[in-house]
Amino acid sequence: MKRIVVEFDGKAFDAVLFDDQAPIICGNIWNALPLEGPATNTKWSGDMLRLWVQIPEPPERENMSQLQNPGDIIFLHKWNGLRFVYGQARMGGPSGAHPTPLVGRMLGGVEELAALGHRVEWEGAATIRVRRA
Amino acid sequence: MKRIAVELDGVGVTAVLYEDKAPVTVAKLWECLPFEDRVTHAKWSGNMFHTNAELPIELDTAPWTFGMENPVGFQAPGDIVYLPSAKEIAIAYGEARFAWVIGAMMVSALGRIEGDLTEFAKKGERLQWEGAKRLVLRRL
Repeated sequence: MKRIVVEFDGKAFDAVLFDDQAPIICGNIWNALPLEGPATNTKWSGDMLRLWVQIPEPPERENMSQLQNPGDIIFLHKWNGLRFVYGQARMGGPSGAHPTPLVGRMLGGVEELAALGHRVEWEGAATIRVRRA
Repeated sequence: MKRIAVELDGVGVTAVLYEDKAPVTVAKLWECLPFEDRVTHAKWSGNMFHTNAELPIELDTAPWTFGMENPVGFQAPGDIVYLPSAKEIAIAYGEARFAWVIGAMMVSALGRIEGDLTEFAKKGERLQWEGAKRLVLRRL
C-alpha cells in the first residue's frame, strides 16, 4: 500500500492508498499528487467531505464499496475528486446509494476530520492537501 | 390565504402557507413569526437547507398519520417543509428529498415559494461553500 499524507488546519495525518485493490485508480491519484483544493460537505451522503480536485479518470471500477466507514477515502467516477468519510455516511444521490471505489483510508485524524466537517458546515469550505509520504 | 416573506442572506421571496392542508401547524408557525435563524446546507437531502434553532411550536401529533399534518415524501424546488420531531424547517431550492441517516423521511408540507426561484436558489447553493447564512421568515 502506498503511504500518503492528508493535511488540513495546519495538521498532517498519515493515510494509505489501496493500490493493491484499486491499482489503476490509485495509480492515477498517486501520479496526480500533490493535490490541493477546497473541501465542502456532500449534499446527499452525510458526514463526508468532498475534496474538489480533478484526477485523471479510468473507465474501470475497482474495489467497489457499498457502505462507507469513518476514515474511508473514496473516489467517484464522473463527479471525480476525493471524498473523506468522517461519520455516519453513505455515498448517494437523488436515486439512492451509489457503490463507489474505496481507494484508501486515514490511519488517524478522523476526529479532526469530523471537526473540520462540522466547521465547514457552518463557516464554509476549507483547504485539504494530499501528498505523497 | 396566509403569505410570508422568506429572506435568505438578503435575497427575498414570498411564499404561501397551506392553511387548508396543515391548518394547525400553519397557525402555530404564524404565531412564532417573525422567526430568524442561521440556516445550514443539508448533508443528506440534496439541494435543501434547514433551520438549526428549534421553532417554538408545540403540537399534539398523536392523531395524525405519520405524526404530522399534510405528510409528504417528495419535495419540489421552493417547497417549505417542517419536521415536528426536530422542530425544524427545511426549504428545497433545487432537486431535493428530505432525508437523514436511514434514508428519506416524511415531512409536513407547510407552503411553497411563489414566483421566480433563480436568485434564491443561487444563494442556497452558496451555503455549501460559504457556510451558515441568515434566514428570516415574516408575516405578509
